[in-house]
Amino acid sequence: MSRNGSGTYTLPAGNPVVTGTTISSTWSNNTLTDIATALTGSLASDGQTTATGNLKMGNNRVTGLADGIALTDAATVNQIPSGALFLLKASNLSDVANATTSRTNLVAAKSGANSDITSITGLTTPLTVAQGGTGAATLTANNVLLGNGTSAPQFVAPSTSGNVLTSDGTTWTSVAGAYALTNGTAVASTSGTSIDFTSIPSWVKRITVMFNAVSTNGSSIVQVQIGSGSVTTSGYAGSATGMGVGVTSNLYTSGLVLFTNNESSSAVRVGQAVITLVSGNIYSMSANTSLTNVATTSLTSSVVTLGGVLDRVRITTVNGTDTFDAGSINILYE
Amino acid sequence: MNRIEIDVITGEREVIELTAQEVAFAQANYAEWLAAQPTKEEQIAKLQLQIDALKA
Repeated sequence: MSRNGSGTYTLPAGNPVVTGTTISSTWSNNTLTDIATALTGSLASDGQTTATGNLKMGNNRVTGLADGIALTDAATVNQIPSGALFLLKASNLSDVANATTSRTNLVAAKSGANSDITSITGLTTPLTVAQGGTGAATLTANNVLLGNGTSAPQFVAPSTSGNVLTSDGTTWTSVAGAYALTNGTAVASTSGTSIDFTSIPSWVKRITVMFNAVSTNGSSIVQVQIGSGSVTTSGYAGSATGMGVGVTSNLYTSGLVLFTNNESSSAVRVGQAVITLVSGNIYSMSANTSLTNVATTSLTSSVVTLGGVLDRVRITTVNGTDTFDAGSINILYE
Repeated sequence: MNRIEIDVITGEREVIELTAQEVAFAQANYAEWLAAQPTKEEQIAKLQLQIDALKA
């Protein structure tokens, strides 16, 4: 009968033998044949027997195992690489079938769409536009970026001060722009021997100086001077005509002189002077001003070449020491 | 005597005391300017010419 399928061997029928029974050849042969069959079906310790099924170890170890040498041999623990052992032990890769657990144990990010990657600091190749990057390693400071399909963006440099972005219907470029009128803050001309408007932008091409009932404590003629870095006090080429009681004209070189033939401490000046860039650093100036205390008008023009781009306008008197005592002055530049 | 400076960008207003050198420079310029101006007699003569021309 051999083993019962669960490994239990039971002697064949006629066993066990009752005391006093005569041992017959039939009993003996049957019993011994059954035992021989069971032995043949067991594993011989010298390796003669080839297993015909999987060996069930019942949670027991195979001990005293020699290192495997063929691909189909069993391996000893000694043959498992120490790194693999570490991974197995420290990283719990026994659960490799569970990707989430394995990634967590390996501190590895998921491939494809994922939320594992929250920061990348080691990239040496910029992400392309298609990847959500710019395709560029650096973005030039203060440049404007233009979209460029899936290629890296194009850059537009600021170029000259005062430039604006302009479309040619296809793309954008930095070109000289049209400038807005900028009105300054009116300054009370009630003190000081001169009033300077400074830091006028280099792109300015025209300045209007406006006089609102301006007077001084003396009889020196009011004049407008301009400058680059400092005020230019000579080299103006022009003349002025004062019309009131008669007409008087004179040449002047110290500035754009608001000459009238009724200058006095009572003179109250209104009107405006305009300064316009001719070319380079040459500036043309003209003024049409009048007095309100007596019927007198001044027409005056001048031209001067500065050492650089105009950045300041001064309103003062020809003697430089009379003090403003009434009114207000403002400038408008464009 | 002082000069008033207004920065048109920042709006900052400064009052700067004129130095003695600046005052002297202004006075010298003015003296030169005065010297270049026509005298009263010259202006009267110029006006007289205009009157004569109108009368003619």
